[in-house]
Amino acid sequence: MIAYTIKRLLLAVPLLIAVLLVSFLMLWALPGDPTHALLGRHWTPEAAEAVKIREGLDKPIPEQFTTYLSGVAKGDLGRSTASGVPVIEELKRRIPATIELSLAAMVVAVIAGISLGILSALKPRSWIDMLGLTGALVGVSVPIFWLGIMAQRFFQPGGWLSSMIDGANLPTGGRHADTLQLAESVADTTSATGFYLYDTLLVFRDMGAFMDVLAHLALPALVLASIPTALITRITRSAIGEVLQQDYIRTARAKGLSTRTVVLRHALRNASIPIVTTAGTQLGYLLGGAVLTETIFSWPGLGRYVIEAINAQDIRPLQGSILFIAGVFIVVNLLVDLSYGMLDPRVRKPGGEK
Amino acid sequence: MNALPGWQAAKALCAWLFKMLRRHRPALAGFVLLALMAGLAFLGPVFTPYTAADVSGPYLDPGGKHWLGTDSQGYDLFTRLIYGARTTLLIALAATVLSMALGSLIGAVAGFCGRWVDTLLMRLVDFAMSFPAFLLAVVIVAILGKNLDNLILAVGLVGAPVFARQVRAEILRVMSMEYMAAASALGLPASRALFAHALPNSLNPIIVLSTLGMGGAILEVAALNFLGLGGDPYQVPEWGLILKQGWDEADKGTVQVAAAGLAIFVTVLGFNLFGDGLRDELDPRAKRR
Repeated sequence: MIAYTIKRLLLAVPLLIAVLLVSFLMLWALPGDPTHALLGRHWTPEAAEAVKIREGLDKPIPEQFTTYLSGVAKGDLGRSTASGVPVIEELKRRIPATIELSLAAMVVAVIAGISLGILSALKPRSWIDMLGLTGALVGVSVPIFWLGIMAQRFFQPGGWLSSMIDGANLPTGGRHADTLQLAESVADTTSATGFYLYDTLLVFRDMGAFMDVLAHLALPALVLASIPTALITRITRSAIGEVLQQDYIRTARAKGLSTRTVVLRHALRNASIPIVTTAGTQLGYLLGGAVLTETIFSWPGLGRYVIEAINAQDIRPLQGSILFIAGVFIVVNLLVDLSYGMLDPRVRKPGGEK
Repeated sequence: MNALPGWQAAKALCAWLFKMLRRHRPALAGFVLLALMAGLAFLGPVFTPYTAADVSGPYLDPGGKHWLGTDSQGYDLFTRLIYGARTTLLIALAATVLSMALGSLIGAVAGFCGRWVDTLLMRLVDFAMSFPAFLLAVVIVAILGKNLDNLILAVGLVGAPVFARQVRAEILRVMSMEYMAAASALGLPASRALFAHALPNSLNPIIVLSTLGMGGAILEVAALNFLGLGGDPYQVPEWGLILKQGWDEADKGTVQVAAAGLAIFVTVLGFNLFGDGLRDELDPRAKRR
């Protein structure tokens, strides 16, 4: 197990270095030279000279890269050209927003996907199986931004739902009601994390605010959950279905174990590797896929930061966000691989089939 | 007529398709959806009295004269969607062909050469896959510049690694076949052995992936255009762009958003249904369940 862990950890190192290199080189890949990328509309020959000296652009590129690396290690990702705010400050505010959204979507997807998948596998060709299969197909075929906009139209105040059930609606934008000013409270409180569900419930102990945050999270999380739910349902159905054919399941049933025990104790555990893989890789994709959901639901997270940076031609925020998202993606994939070792003893054995 | 080999092949292909569709109901449904969309795309102008450039009053309600109403600029929405079908399908096709060509080449060379070439190419593929694909496409467009060509290039590049992995695995399988040993015993040059024998025998997963990839490419192209990364808004009426324009009009654009999104959804659904059927038929080892 230790050898496997070390080997897998070592494999992630070159990837991380490559990601750092790419985010560094983005500055040079843009049209024009880096001073254009950094100054944008404010470019003048004098400003370009100044920026060259300040950012060390006159030094050899390898030296610039090591400077960039030590900056990243110290948490210095440069400043936004548009606002002048250090990128790291902006990231600290936005990362919790995106992670909260992604985790909420993942929780929905795992619960819905695994339950639907198990029920489908237990009764192939029943109505619930058909529902699961159709849902899974729709989930991977529907444009997520369309789903989001349609959900907004349905749930918004004065929308289609409120005309059916008097006044029923859900918030369709932002992380909380404007009157709450949570961002300010969080900035003033040292123990607050920026994860609003956690903060409102445990730090501020404000039930009303918690419910408001939860209501704001509902629609974007459900919409973002559509693709992972579809994929997890599919993979659970096929993995459980396969395990249920095995002899040891027949033995377990013959011993007189209830279906519940057989499924939860024996089938689910043995089907867990493909399920964990799918869920894990999807978590990484959620962080990236949040770009669309955040745009539609005016969610102040990383995805929108990327789009705002692109529209403002602001290179430092783009570099910083990409670096963070790719880093998380690599670490999540690493954790998924390491979890195989725990779930499946065969992986741990040296020379065992991976 | 019958003497033409192309004609024979087409006949055999149709017969095979017919058999497959009869056996596989969902694939039949997908095929019907796709045929419908292709029909609209290429015969569409027959169904509408307007062209994509005809302007009437803005925001006309759906009705007899304008089936889906008109948009903020006064263009007939139904007409724009029909012309959009053609653009959307062609853009997705271009991106998918790029993914297929590049990915298959990388995969084939890696699998065929083995050793350090294999390691090098597959590390590159791993690296490309260590970014979330959609985000990678966003970044590529951001760096190259926001226009349609770059958008196609980005979607095409991002789709390539999946082809590379599958084709490599397939080539490795084919290489262990006796006819490959025979080819090398006969002294065929490596390039001929690869392109005339190994690659044609690895076509099945390429066909399956391309079909499923078309659906994915349509979604990605629409999403990038929705984010405003495709450049000129009124030049090419791609569905994602039409959807975005409807979204920008808030409540007035509801029909536009609903119709454009539905068009994307139905087409992608068609490719997924048909692709799943092809997979069951052509690539039985990958069959789910």
